[in-house]
Amino acid sequence: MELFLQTLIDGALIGGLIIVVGVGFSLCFGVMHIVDFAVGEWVMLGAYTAYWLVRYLGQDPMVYLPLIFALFFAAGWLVYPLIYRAVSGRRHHPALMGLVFTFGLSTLAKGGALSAWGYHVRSVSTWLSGQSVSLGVTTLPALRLAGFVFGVLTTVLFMVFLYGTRMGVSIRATAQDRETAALLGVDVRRVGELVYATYAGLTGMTGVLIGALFSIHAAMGAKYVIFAFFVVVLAGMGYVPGVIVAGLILGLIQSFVGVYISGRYTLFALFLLMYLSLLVAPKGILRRGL
Amino acid sequence: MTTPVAEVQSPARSAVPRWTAGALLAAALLLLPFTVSSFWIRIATEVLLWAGLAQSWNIIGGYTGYLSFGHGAFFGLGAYVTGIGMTVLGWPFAVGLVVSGVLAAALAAAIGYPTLRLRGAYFAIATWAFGEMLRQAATVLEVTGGAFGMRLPAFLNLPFFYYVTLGVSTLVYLTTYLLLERSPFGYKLLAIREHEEAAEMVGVNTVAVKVNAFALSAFFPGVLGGIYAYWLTYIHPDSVLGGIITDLMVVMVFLGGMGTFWGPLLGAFLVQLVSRSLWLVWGESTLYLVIIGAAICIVVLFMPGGIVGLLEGRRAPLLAPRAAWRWWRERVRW
Amino acid sequence: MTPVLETQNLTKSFGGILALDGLSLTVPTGAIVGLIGPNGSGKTTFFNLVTGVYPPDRGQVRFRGRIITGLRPHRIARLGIGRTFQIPAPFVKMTVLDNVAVGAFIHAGTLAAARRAAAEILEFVGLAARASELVSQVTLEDRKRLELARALATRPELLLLDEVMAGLNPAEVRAAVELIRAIRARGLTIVVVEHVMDAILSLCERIVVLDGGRKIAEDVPERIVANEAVIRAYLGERRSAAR
Repeated sequence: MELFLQTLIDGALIGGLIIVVGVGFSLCFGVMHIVDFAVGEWVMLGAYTAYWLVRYLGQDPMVYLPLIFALFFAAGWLVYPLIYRAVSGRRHHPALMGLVFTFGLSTLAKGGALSAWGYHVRSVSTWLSGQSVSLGVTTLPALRLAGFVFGVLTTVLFMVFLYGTRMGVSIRATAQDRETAALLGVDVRRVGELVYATYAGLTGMTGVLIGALFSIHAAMGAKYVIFAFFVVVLAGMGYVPGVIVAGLILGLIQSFVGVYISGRYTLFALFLLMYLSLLVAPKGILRRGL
Repeated sequence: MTTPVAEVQSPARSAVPRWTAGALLAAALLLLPFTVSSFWIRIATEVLLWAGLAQSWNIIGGYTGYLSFGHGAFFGLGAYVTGIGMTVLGWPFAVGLVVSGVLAAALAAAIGYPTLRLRGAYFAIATWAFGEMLRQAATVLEVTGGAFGMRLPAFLNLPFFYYVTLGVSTLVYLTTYLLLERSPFGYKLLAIREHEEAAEMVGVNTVAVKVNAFALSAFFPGVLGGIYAYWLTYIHPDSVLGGIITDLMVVMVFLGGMGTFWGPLLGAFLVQLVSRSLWLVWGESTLYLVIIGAAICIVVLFMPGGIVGLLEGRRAPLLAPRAAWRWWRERVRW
Repeated sequence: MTPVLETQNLTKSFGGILALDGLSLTVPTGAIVGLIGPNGSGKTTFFNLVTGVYPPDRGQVRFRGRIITGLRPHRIARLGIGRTFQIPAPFVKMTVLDNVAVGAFIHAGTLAAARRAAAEILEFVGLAARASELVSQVTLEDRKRLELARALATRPELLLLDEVMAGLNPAEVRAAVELIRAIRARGLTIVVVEHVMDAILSLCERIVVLDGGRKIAEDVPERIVANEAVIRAYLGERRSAAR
């Protein structure tokens, strides 16, 4: 029972963190109809950036979170025009082109990381690593708890932004009907930029936490691409609230398969569930996807 | 895709020189092992292998417009199936190849059915995840030798593998020509790519056609994987199931020209040429991935029709670099 | 004689919007029926339901007496219903001839046979001269003809035309009307959605008027233009146009 509870909580905690990535990724698709294959690479780069910052400037990696958000926001802001160009106007098959382009970006980033930083596995530690917090029945690793809190806070803030501000309304409007939103005066291109940049910033930040929780290496991105995909397939592409549920499910599956069967089979379990989900509920479990 | 228009547009060439050129090429290919050193035979075999792989990817990616980002998995699957078949089950090579191809096609149909009913993005995602998963499987399972890979019975006969590869790749091109360029099936694929809803409206069973195309596109990589395994004698998860295999297929077809008949051949040839030259300069390097990634991005941004697209004069976006830079500069005005 | 098309109580909602509310109508064989109504009254939704783009929430569609509700579009096309889109949806990177040929694949087994059938149809609609051109180089009016030709290639018994005359000048409209009559003469039944009043009034034997997803009138053209409910639905603007 003890193990079960521990596994459950562990899973929920990790799930909470993944949700951040899932939300941005889903919104990217909902607003700009872009599936960002490079999502895993943003995570990886976030982790590495934290590592190098700590290595050369000292301090706890958590201190750098705002800086990393800003850096990755800027990076996303710079990259987006390229993506936009790849999918825009006269080109045929924008969806195709967008997919291939981000696929190319992801390969580029992965290759760059491997070339620059090699195959070493690194890690980053914070004052929270190795500490635990006891909550009555169980003790939780402080870092995991922090990750979860980060996930929840960020998601909540983002939801507030989406549902409570004018810009948020513009974003949701663009996601629902791009043309009409444009006709109503929404600067659709700017919305796209903002969404992508924010998504990059958030995902980069998440990378820091992931880097602290797990290990950092150039090929780590692949796992998170699958996670992001899994989450949006279950939630339904573009349906943000569903991401929360799906993210938790992901965390739980990761956790339970890892503990009760073997860590090596988590990808299978995820793939199987994703496959079944596509077969049975293509618009997401709650049937609200695009 | 060569429709009557494109043929009319090209300069009038008489049939005779084309025939003799073709015959000469065929003769050159058939006699190659007798005329050059084993170093070149090896390179030629690899180029032919990739030419076949690229065209296979083109069937589902270029003609149909559904990007299979895990296509390398079929190649790896073929390699392992042949490997396991020959070592554990004692199959002859030919049987291994056939089973590899059929299994790859069957698996493609299984994955294709739920994913091809939906948008292209789901298909890309699902195939990609499938590829990753297969690599995990190969690394974990005992029968595949795990991360250490597996050995096949040794058969050191370079010309043999050259001819088998030549044969299978030629078959890929022949099949593509007959089934895609010259038959209703191919035009249905194009219709699906151009406007799937309209295609469905005029009676094209889009799901069935797509699944068939995907299965077909997976069959040959399965066979080629089997050939590769027996040829190299030793395979492991990274060598036959690595993501780079799909990356290469994608960039070859994109560079050459998506959905064109000659594009994949051109692309395979060029990419192999560049990679060999780079290898000479840099040795084994991860910079390779950077270049492939950059190449894909650049092709998408500046020449989405690939080389064949440029040659057919359809679009001239090469003026784009200046415009793109200007456009980017005005964006970065904080 | 079984009517070619019969719908019963067709209902469809999208999110909170009720696009079609219990539409029941019958299309007799060999007729040209007009379907008119203000924007958003459910006309295109109706076409989409009949051709199987999505299933209705409630109701049935019968084609020649056979229930086709819920079948996939390609099966419905094979059974004999053809349709054009409001905004032409051609296969852009193919020639005009090949576009039509794709439609002919239902009946023609080989590429050559399909192209032959397509050439005939292009001749019929007046696009023969453009057969080997790429669609990207073709004008809007010709693209609309191409839509029509492609739908005809499937050898339908029922043809659903969605605003084929939008954007055409009066001369082109007249030509389109003639063409539609010629198509009917070939034995097809046609349902036409249109906003160009002259055309609808001269072409159709019966007109069905939709408003807010419901049928508010169904009658011969002469009586439709005088119908109070119809005039109200169009907010009086159409009154002068209809005269």
